[in-house]
This record gives sequence, structure tokens and C-alpha cells, in this order.
Amino acid sequence: MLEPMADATFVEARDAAAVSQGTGNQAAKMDGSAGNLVKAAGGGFKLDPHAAASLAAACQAAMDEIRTMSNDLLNIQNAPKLGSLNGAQTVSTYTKNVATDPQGMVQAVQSLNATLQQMHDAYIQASKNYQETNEQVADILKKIDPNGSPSTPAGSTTPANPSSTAANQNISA
Amino acid sequence: MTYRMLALPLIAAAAIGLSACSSQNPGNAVGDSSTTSAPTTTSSSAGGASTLASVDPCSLVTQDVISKSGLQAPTPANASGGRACRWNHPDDGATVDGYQVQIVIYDTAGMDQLNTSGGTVADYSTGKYQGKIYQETALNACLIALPTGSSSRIDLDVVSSLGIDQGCKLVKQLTPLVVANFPAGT
Repeated sequence: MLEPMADATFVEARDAAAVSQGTGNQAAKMDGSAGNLVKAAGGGFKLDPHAAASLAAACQAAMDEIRTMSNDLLNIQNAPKLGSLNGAQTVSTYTKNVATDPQGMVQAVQSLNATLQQMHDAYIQASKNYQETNEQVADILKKIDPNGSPSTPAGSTTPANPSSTAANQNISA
Repeated sequence: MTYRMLALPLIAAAAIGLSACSSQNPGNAVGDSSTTSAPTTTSSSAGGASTLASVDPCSLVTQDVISKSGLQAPTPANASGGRACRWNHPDDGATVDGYQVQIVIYDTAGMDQLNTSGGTVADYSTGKYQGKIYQETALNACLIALPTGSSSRIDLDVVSSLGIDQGCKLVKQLTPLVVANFPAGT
């Protein structure tokens, strides 16, 4: 009775260790993504929407994995007691502590998940920034008539190009 | 809005699942997870032994619920002293709204061995089952544990990226659907 259960706990701990290694792999992927973000952002925090979507999808895939890790950790926390023998108590306590103590995997997974969530949101925001900048540039270009002069020169009460002004009203509406 | 979109399929699936169960095969276990019909009754024992000892946890969520809730195919998983099965609901393209459902059957560990040291716990009952609902904040997990014998139980949990409240909502919707698939006499 004791032996198979202990084996199961060791299998669980081994799986958790593999999961932890997976966390390290995800962290490496995040570093790579962060590098791409810096390159794409240049001096500002803007990303081409297609690039941002790919990066946000990578974050989502990682968070999918974290949900699996969370269930692994939940199972470790709920591992049945192994019995009253000293060895069994030691293994049981150690396994649970690895999962739940302040330096344990629960905290690490929680932290990683929060980081991924922030990165995901940042990518989405950077994509919006890019689109807003694009729209602002397009608006400026539309305000300039084909001759290169502004449609409403400073101090002028009459539009230089009535048709251009009408177009602007349509856009702003 | 997203929350509502997530909840509706489960509610709809709940209505269909419950009505199907009450009108066709009340209380029978679903032997094949790929279909909602032709459930097979597994052996059940009275007293302290687990009444779900012969039940595959992956068979407790019907294909109907899986498809209507947008869940992926079930995946057996490791759980010390128990038998586990998981269903993943991936994030949609725009938001982080995914969740994962897990069912663990413990044949030799009762309610007294449910570890609630890392979160909050409250009473929860469905049908004749007087269980517990446990919220593990650090893992965004909401777990419902139901006794299936004096030294056996079944745990159902949802880990949700939308937070623990969303997870609790989902697991509360799912639990009656799972209980409806317990073997007759459980």
C-alpha cells in the first residue's frame, strides 16, 4: 500500500520537475520575445500588428502550459498522506513544500503567469499604439492638399480648398 | 462580455446534459466519452469503498458538454493516489480567457485528506453530495470535492486565466453535469 503510493508521489514530483524545466524553457522563449519587442519597437513602444499578434499568441500558448502546471501543483498539494512512517512523512512534507513554500513552484508559476499576462497586454497595447500613429500620420497627410499647402492656413477664415475640408469633416465624423 | 460568452455554452450544455440524462439514462455512467448515449453501468459498492472505483474520469464529461463548451479532447493526467483527466479550453485569439478543467478520482483518500491549507474553503452541496469548495488563489484554481465513500472522493477543478471567480462559476456549472454521469446507485 505504502510503496505504490510513494512511487506515485515520486512520479508526480518528477513530472513537476519536468514542468519546472519547462518553465525555464518558457522563460528562454520570453527572453527571445522580449528581444524581438525591443527590435520592433525601436525608440518607441509600437509594434506592427502582425508581429504583435504573433508575440501575444506565444504568450497565450505559454499561459496554456501554465494552467496545466497549476493543475499539477494542485495535485501535489492534494497528494494523499503516505502513512505514519518517518520516511513517508519526510517524503510527503518535502514534496508539498517544494510545491507550496515561498521559494516553491506555486510562487514561481504565479510569477511567470503574471509576467506573461503583462507581456501579452503590452504587445496588444503596442499594436494599438502603432495603429493610432498610423492613423495620425494618415490624417496629417490628408490635411495637406496636392500643392503641399495646409487646407486651413493659420489666420485664414476661408478654407484654401473647400473640397478637402469637406473630406476632413467626413473623416472626423 | 467575454465572461458571458464563456458562461453561456456551459449553461446551455448544462440544460441539454441534464435534460438528456433525466429523460434517457438517469444516473448512469458514461462509458464512452465520444458519445452521449449508450452509457455503461460500472460496478458500484456500498459502504466505505469508492463508488467510482471502476469509472474512468475522462468518461464523466459527455461529448455534448465538451463540444458546446469549446473544450478540447480529454487527456489523462498523473495525480498521486488518484486518477485524473483534463480538458483544456484555449485562449481565444484576442484575450487571455482560457481555462482548464480537471477531474481526479481518489479511491483511497476521503474528504479528510483534502488539502485546504493554501486558500479558502466552504461547504458546497449538489444533489445528495455534501462536499467542499476550495479556492486556491495563487493558482487561480477553484476546486469542488465530493465524498464518494467514507475514504474516497472526487475532485473537480477549473484553473482559469480570467480569475478565481470565473473558475468557481465554471466548476459550479460543471459539477452537476458530472454527478449526473455517476453510476446508478452511487
